[in-house]
Amino acid sequence: MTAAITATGITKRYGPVEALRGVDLEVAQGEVLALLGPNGAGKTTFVEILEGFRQPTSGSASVLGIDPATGDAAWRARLGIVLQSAGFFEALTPREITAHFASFYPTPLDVDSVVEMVGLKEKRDARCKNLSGGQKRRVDLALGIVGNPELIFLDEPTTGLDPQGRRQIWEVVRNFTALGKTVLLTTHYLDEAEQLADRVGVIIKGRLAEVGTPREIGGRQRAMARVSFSVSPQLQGKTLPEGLAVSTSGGVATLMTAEPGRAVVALTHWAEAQGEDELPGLSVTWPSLEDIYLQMVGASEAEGAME
Amino acid sequence: MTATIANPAFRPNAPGRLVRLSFERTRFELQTFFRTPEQVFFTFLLPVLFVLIFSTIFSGAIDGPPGAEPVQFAQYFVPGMIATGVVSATFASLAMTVAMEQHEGLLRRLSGTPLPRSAYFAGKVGLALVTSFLDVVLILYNEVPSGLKAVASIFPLKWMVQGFRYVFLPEWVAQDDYGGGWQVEQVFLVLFAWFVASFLLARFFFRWNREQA
Repeated sequence: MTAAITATGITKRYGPVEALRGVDLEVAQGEVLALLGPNGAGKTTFVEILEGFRQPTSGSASVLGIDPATGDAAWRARLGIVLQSAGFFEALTPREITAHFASFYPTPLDVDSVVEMVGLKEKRDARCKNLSGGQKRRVDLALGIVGNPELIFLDEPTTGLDPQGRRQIWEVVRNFTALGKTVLLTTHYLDEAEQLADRVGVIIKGRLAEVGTPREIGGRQRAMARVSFSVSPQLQGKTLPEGLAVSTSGGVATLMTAEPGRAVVALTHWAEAQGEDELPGLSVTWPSLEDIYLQMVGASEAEGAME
Repeated sequence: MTATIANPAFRPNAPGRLVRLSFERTRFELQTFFRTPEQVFFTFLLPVLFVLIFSTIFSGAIDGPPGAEPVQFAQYFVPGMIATGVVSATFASLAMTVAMEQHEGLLRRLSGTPLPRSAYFAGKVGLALVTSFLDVVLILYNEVPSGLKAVASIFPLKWMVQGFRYVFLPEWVAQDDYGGGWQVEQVFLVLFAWFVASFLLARFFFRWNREQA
């Protein structure tokens, strides 16, 4: 399968600041890749290089088979770009602006269906200056997809939206990827990455720290599960089954294990032996993508301190 | 996979497409312009207002050679006013809106699309052509009613001109134009009244944000 995006050794320097320090990434056609990373990590710079808005200091990129630095109008016609923030045509309505943008493309989508798809049917004839931030963001999305692009760049598409608005935008993105389109998205929402992305890339301090599926990134599959239960009076001060060690705080005992099933069985038998029919407040949790992500960012910061 | 092959039928620089998009941009610019009251005011009303005021202040005529019809000052000013109107509709608003659109990120948004740069500027030129044409028509068809002199004397421009004339011109001009004397005290009083009144108006009607009512 051909790659929609190939980036090799992309660096970007602004004076003494190294915004990107050698990023390699390949996004397959039809794939949804989410870029995560703290503010200022270089996500937007990287995406803007791929969009042809910025030139890399070194390295090479190919987007839909073309170097973004030399991309012409025919190339732009195959892309949809939703910038993190861009100016607004305040005096016009969502429908008018979407129709205007549709006129730039050789094979645009139907304007009214696009306006409806992004959830602006009721507001289609309202002046943009009277729209809320979330509604304006939907106009951004409408302008990004109306040209029927093969590849969409979404820079923080749902930042500032309410939960319902976010789900609606996810729905639009899913409809789009169902047609075999490629999406490169940046986000601060880990659940968004988990919901939409086939793979997740984490950019930290200008480097792509890791790329993988949301299930496996950061060694998530090998990570330890957390088993915890409440320490009832019967269990207080009792010796645990062999091989299990808990840390207790605030009346809750917690243990980390790679085999939570076995641990729960052992703990249940042990509790029964102590006169408790049921382990009170038992829970088993795997680390969320957010936990893994925060660990990765935290580890990189600790590294930075030692450098 | 055919998805990476560009649509071969799409020629972004085909003349027909450039013409179509230039007209589409012009239409879009006009729509935006007429929905922005500030722009409409400064482009159309200001020049017309200036013609009215100027032609009522300078009510004299320029005498030509014997036998030739004298040229009214009002007539004399109109071409200059038209030029001013056209310059403000073209250079000023064109340069200003391009800079504003860049600042607001509108250019960035457009630059991410296959819109040709030439069509963007053709739209700006189209807007300037239409608005300056309307400007000329408005100025030409605004004949100055004779009774407007009294109205003009309310505005500060007349008094400013009079004050500066007092400084730069000999006394006899005052005899001719103002029926003797420069009325310096009156100039000062009227201008001061304008200063106070406009300060108060600004204080009470200025809003940081257009939305606040």
